[in-house]
Amino acid sequence: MTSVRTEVMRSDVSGWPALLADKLAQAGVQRMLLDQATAEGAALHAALSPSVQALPFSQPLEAWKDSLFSTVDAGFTVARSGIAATGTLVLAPDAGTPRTVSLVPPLHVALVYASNLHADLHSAMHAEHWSDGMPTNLVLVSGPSKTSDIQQTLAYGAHGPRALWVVIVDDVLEVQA
Amino acid sequence: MNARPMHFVSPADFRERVSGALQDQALRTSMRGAMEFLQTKRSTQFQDADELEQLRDLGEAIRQHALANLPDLLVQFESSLQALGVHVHWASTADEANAIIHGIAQRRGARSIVKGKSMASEEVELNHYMAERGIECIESDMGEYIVQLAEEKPSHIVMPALHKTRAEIGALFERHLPGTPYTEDVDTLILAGRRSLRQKFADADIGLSGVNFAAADTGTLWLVENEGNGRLSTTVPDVHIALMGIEKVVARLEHIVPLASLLTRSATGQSITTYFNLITGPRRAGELDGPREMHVVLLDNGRSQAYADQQLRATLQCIRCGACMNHCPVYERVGGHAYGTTYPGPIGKIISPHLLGLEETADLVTASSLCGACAEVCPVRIPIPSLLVRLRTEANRDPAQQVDQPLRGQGASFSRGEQLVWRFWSGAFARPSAYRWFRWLATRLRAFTPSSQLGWTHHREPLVPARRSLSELLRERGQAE
Repeated sequence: MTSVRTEVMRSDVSGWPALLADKLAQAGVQRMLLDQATAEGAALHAALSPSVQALPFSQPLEAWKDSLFSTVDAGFTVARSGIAATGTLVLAPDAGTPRTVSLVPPLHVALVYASNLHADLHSAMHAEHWSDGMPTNLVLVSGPSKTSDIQQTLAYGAHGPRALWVVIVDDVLEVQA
Repeated sequence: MNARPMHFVSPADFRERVSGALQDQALRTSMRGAMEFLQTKRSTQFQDADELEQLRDLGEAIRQHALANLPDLLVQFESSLQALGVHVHWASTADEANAIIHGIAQRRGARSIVKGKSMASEEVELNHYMAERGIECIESDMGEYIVQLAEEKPSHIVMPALHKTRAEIGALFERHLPGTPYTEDVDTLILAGRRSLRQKFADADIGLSGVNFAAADTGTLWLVENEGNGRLSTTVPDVHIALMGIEKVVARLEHIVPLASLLTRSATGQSITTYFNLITGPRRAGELDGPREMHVVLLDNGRSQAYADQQLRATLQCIRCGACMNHCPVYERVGGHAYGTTYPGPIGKIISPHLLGLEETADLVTASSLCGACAEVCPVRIPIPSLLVRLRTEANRDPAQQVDQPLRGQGASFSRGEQLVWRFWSGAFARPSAYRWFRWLATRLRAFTPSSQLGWTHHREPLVPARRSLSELLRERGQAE
């Protein structure tokens, strides 16, 4: 993931909210979408510095499209899983964390548990039984938005998030214990 | 087709454009650089030759399996989509596809359509059709946006603005984007493009996209991209229309995994692109974003002609990676625009005759030395050179000859004179006495050989028989024939 300019942080189950909150404050993030109904959203919310405001995605997109596009700095998502071979996050947006959270704000912050990592796309698809029921949208994210459309020169931040931070939470030992 | 692009060039004028392109030093230089870049990127992804060959076998098998069952898969795909609440439309021609999309736009009172990258929409000339009817189409892929601003067509199916230098793009942005000073800095240019397009996503009434792969079992559309404009186009506007060729469907979602891997590695040399966007139906109850209305337009536009022929069906295996053009010595030298077709390069030569007829494209199928580089890199093993030979045969077939599945434009290059020459030659070759007689006559009368010999002498020296035939020379030296 780092080869495509993704910032990867590794932490443990108790340490990640403080680590991330600190980094968000340093980056000057002011308004961030996050779903407090999830355990991770609540934990991060509790750790956030007062300079960072947490916003819920509480109304349909069409009711606040313009302000989402112009006033939100970051979106926080918990990935369903990750794919090791290609450095990929598997996101399954839902009512609490809709599709645009990982798409419209200039910074996308994703959390993935090490225990949810798969070797490759094929094994992820089988382990999670994708064919038995696909969500409206399943997105595989492998870095921040980019393009090489001008003279094959790589540039980041074409249309989607200009930066992607991934927090890998090392829960594997605890799972085994 | 009624819809004509802003700068329509006929593929039939290929020969004239080729000589212009070959003299264009700037184009030659930028093409050379781009091809080398893309070839190197691809080769770094396929360092294990055995793995590549196994993956190609698998990709070919999946595509052939899908095509063998295509009618059933399309029906299954349609019912999967309908169960999800997607409106399914069938378009047998480009005009029908345009009329369907225009009908949706009219019903919704739409003024603007924001587009993710779609070569099918280029094929049907959607932007032009909509503009004539007062609806604005905005290309949001950076490369597509650049060629749209320049009022051009893409010159490559994956990298639409491949032919443009950063200086040209800097000047283009300065002219068209308010408050953008001239620069050749790529990051600054991309930022300018991002700024000017961002509000368009929020304002557009409809988002239109292409489709890379579709799964019949789940009704999933699989979109591959790096920029995020495809996700924005399919997520933010209230209506999503997906336009796709009928050949894009495979039986099962899992069949797409190896195809997607072959696609990104062959196309841009990436192990995976930034986004794989898997869409399964419109917004569901309780969800807060995503389009509330979704349409899939299935486009034939000549594909069923290729489908009906057992050999030519392989054309439809294509996953649109562009590796064939990236490795084609002809494409590299003339660039994508010379072809005058939506799909340039080797794949364009074999698909365009079905979309446009051989009468427009007969010259394209001859613009190949049959070197075979395209077939060597094709991730799904389309035998492009043998398909080219077949299309040449059809272009030279007597238009009056009755065949089982005649191709549109059969006999476009047919010449009675050439037919007579070949008839005479095969007759003489089959009869030794006639052949010896002809050989004796031709060598004695070599001074009278015509200097203009049909198409042969357009680009070559005339054929003149030797003074004496080889067997005569051998006999003179006392050796047996």
